[in-house]
Amino acid sequence: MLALVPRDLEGVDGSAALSSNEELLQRVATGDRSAFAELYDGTAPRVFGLVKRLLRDHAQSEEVTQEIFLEIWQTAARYDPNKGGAMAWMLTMTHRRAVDRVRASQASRDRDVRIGIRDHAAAFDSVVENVEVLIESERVKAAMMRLTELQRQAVQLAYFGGYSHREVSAMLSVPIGTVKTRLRDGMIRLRDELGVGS
Amino acid sequence: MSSNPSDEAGPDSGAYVLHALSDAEIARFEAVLAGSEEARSEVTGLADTAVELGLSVEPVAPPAALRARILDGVATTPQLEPVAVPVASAGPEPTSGPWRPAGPVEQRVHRRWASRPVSAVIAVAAAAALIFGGGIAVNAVIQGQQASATASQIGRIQAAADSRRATVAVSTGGTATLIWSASLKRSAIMVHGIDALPGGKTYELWYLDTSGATPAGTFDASGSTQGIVLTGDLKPGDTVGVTIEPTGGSASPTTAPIAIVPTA
Repeated sequence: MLALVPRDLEGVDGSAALSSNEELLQRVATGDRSAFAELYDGTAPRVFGLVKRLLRDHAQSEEVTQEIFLEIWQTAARYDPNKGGAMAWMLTMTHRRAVDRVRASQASRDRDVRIGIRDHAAAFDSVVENVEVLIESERVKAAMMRLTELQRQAVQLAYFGGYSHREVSAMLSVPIGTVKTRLRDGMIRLRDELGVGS
Repeated sequence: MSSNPSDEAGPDSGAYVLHALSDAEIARFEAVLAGSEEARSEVTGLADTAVELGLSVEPVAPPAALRARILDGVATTPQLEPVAVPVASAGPEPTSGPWRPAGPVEQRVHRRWASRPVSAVIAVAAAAALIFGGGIAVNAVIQGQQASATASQIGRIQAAADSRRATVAVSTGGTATLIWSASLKRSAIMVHGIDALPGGKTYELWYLDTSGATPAGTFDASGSTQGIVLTGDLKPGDTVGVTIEPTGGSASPTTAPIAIVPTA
């Protein structure tokens, strides 16, 4: 927060790199494996970083990253550059795949709300208490701080923890309907704070 | 800023983009999305916002071994609905020029190649999907009848009960994957990452057996991956070879093979 140099996406990716990801993805759609390798080299640290954030386990994170890139290869033809950037398309897929794994894995049974309250408490601490660690981007961090506490906790648990709204409901001891509303309000607030789509 | 229960999107849009809904809830919400432009618009904005959260996570370099596994993996993974894209770097196949047919096989080759339009390049994606697809049917979108014919020929070989394949390195760079069916007596080769040859040179395919080499067609590098169906019959025990020959091809190899694939 103090003297950190902001490392927002603009700084990391740059517009030139972003446009080339789109181009690479379109070449991948034609079966171009060298374009795929180039796309991998440019994007794998982001994909792997997000997967690891959610899964924590290194071996599982590698497996899921492999699944994600094979899905990118398989479905590249469905990417429509008119609907958004390549990185956005890939990170959306990344989050979904990582969450799928969280739910499917043994860990998710450990996290079952009926038997894993203590684990939840620990996970809650690691996810919620560490905004500083969790979010590298000063811009996103600042936007998160504009949410109400409940909105912020709910969004963090869902996005960075991969918890379902039911789990979030148990962890925060609020009704499911309230969680859904907080998730929506929180994301709308974030959208507006970050100027997404404007 | 607070959500209104009468909003078309309902309360689920946030949980939806955060992948926090159950499968049943996802299905319900997507039905809502299908019928509501307002809901779709909201979800688009919130999904982009979720991406911002993803971008805020510190990148972590994955191990090099993972890269190798993934790149190996794509070689045997089919692609869904490949679509045609402009292939600006690919020149048209020669429709005339210094072609010197030297025998019946080459005359067949000549006719085939001479009539091949530039759009055949587009067969690449579909054919690549087929050949790399491990026999999985691919819903290929193919443009150009010739391209479609090439892809479907490769598809037939691929689909044969006795279809086999082998991948070898090309000594001058790139890889070649041969698929063949003894019962169909046909084979096709997928080349990836090979060099474009200087003027006056072409790649030529051969069926090789103990009695010598039979020409099986020529091709030029166009695009990063291309599929070529060999002309002539594959005989049991044949080996397929690739050489670099003068434009138009040779009646028998004049250079050492840059790739050799035994089918026995």
